[in-house]
This record gives sequence, C-alpha cells and structure tokens, in this order.
Amino acid sequence: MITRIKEYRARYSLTQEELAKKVGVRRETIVFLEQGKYNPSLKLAHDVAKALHTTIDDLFIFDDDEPGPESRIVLVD
Amino acid sequence: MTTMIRWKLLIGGCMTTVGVLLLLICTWMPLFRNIVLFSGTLIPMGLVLIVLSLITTWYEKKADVIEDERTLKIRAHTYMKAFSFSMLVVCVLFILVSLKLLVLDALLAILIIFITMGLSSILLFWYYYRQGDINKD
Repeated sequence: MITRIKEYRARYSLTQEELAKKVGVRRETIVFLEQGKYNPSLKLAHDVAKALHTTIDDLFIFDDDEPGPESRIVLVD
Repeated sequence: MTTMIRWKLLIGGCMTTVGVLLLLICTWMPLFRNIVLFSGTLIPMGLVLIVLSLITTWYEKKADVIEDERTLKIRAHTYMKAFSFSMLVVCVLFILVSLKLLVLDALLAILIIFITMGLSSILLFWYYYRQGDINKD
C-alpha cells in the first residue's frame, strides 16, 4: 500500500502532530500510515482524507498484482 | 476519568468496606472468627484496585495518552498472544510437574504465570508497536 498523505500534508502545511490531532490519533499512527506500514480502518481513512480535503481513493493506492474480477470475464460468442 | 476507572474505584471501595465490616464482625462476634482470613484478603485486594485506578488516572492525565485505533488493536492482539503464550507455559509446567521433573508449590506456579503474562505483554506490545501493525506482510 502506498499513501500520498505526506504529499497532501505538505500541500496544506500540516505537521504530523497537527494531522494526528485533527483526526484524533497518535502521531506514531500517522508516521506508520505515511510509511504504508499500517492498514487503517475505513473510519480513520475517511477522517484522514477529510482532514486533507481529498478522497480515500486518492490518498491510498494499493499495488495489487492480481487482476480484478472484471478482467476475468470471458466473452463467448 | 473513564467509566471503567469509576467502576474499578467502586468495586475497590466495596471490597474494602465489606472487608472492614467482616473484620469488625469477627472482632465483636468470636463465633465468626474463621472469616478473618476472607476479610484479610478482601481489604488488600480492594486497596490495590483503588490505588492502581488512581495511578492510571494520574498517568493518563499527565501523559495525555490517546488510545487510538492502532494502539487498541495492538493492545488487544498483544493480550491475546500473551494469554496464549502463558497457557503454553502452564502446559509445559503441568507436563514437567506430572513427570516429576519439577517440584512446584501453588505460590511459585502463580508467580511464574504472573511474570510470564506481564513480561510477554510488555515485550509483545513493544514489538508490535515498532512494527506499525499486527498483520504486517
């Protein structure tokens, strides 16, 4: 998982501590989120996205190697 | 002060009060003298609960600890693992005592379990906290 939290944080000139306070978590949680080492709950992801004025989709990028279900559809003539 | 701390204080208070009452009863009525052991257990337990609750409240106020979802998740996982590890230690102790390779009295066995559970909780929490998450792949 790759996150763009650091990029968005810099855009809004927020420190890790300030963002942590905004979403009600510890600073370490923001550190591990930025490093992609922590999988947040849907609520935390939503709160962080809201605090950074963006969407969850834009903030968290999953590097899935497996093809999605839509690519498995085989069209039969 | 959280609701849990309030409950702990209440339970601690009740235990101490009941302990003191039982002590007074067995002092006044010699017929019930054998309950002195029970009251002697209740009073220290209640006092320990009160003191621990007060220390926790003081620490949380001082350190401004935030129990966020990551901390709670890691703590829950840590306790589960520490409990499993302690059970494993109990099983090993049971086998050793059954095979008469080790002689243990109840006090020592309880002490070993306490220390195992406490130490494994602290070490596992430290480890998972440094990792970032419990299920890091």
